Amino acid sequence: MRSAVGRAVVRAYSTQSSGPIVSSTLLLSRNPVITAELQPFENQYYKYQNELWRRLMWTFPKWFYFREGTASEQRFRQLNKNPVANNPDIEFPRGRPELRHSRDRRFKQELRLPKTYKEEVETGEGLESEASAAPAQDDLARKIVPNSRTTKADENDQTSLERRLARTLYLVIKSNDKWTLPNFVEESAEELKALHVLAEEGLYKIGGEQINYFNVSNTPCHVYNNSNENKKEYIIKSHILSGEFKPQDESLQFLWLTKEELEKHLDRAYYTDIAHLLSSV
Amino acid sequence: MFNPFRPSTISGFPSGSVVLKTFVRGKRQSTQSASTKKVVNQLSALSASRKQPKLLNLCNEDLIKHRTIVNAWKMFKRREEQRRHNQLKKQYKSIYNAMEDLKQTSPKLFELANAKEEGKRFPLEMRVPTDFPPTQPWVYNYSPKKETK
Repeated sequence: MRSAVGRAVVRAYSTQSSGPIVSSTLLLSRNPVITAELQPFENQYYKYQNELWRRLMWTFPKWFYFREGTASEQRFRQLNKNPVANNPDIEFPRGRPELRHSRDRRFKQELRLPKTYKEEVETGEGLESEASAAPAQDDLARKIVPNSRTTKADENDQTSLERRLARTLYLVIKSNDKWTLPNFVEESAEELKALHVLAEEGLYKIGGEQINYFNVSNTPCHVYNNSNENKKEYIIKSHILSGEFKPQDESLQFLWLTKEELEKHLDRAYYTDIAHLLSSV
Repeated sequence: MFNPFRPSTISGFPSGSVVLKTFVRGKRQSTQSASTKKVVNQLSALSASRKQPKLLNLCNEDLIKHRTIVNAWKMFKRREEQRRHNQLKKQYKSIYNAMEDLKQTSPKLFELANAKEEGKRFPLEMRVPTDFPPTQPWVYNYSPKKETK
């Protein structure tokens, strides 16, 4: 009697000993923080288009932005020297200059606007004076220097979330001496959990609860048939938004890797099976 | 005949009368009011007059170079787009296969995976990539919300 009930319970769930085990794999990604690196060809093309655009630009209406007789106009005039005048007594072998509003309309107009901070070119001094007279952080007139696109973690910390800011990173863990995406199997057959719930609970179990993540969808995006372990791995896609993956078990090794690095770390067959899920940016 | 010593006579006026004439020394002043001048200045910033550069007149060789560059760019973009399209197609297929497989393996899980996600919202914390990273590239101090009972 008891065995019959047990069999019925077992049959009701997918984790039968006969069929493949249903498991949930989490594809946790950290989205790029900064824009993608441009390819060399893109860089060249944008430069070419920019030059064309500058060549075809209208003359800068200086009189509108810098009123005559003001200090700022004087500074503007100091920075922007007038082009060569069209002197009738001089022969110009490469064509006569055509000046309109003190711009040679045959070429692009190169403008230098007066800055609120002192430029090195203007002061003509080295870096030593710069360092000594470093402007205060709250000084509104200071020069704005953007943060570096590469961080300290880029050097050789593959567990940091701050590495490779321009790329999508994926979480991989080491299990049975092999790098894989974190995979979770239902332990108790008492209750049936949805795949995304299983993945979430598994993630909290191995990585702590200090993770803010966004589950893209409850539907799995891929199924990987793991014939070695007789497992069906349904892959759930998520993005980590803030927080940190802190391994609860000391021995657990994990890495945040880009697509190319995953290719080196994962099994060949496994990688080719999931490669289309990974972003190349 | 012109005689400088003779008193000048202007027709219509009797000789010897005073002629009033306003004369301002130095730069000539414009007759426009200040507000008119301002509008004229603003319009001059917008107008194309005397501001347009010389027309680009490429020689045949340069024209061919330009076309080659633009064609190469179009090809580059087309390939990129094709790659993206193929990847999306593969992803769609793999979702479809996974769901079909799940339906066969476990209908209950299939139902749970297909359930409508009520009240699900796009996370506000998700960032749009910028050209340069923020001073603190990643937010570490996150703690989950306490569940209200």
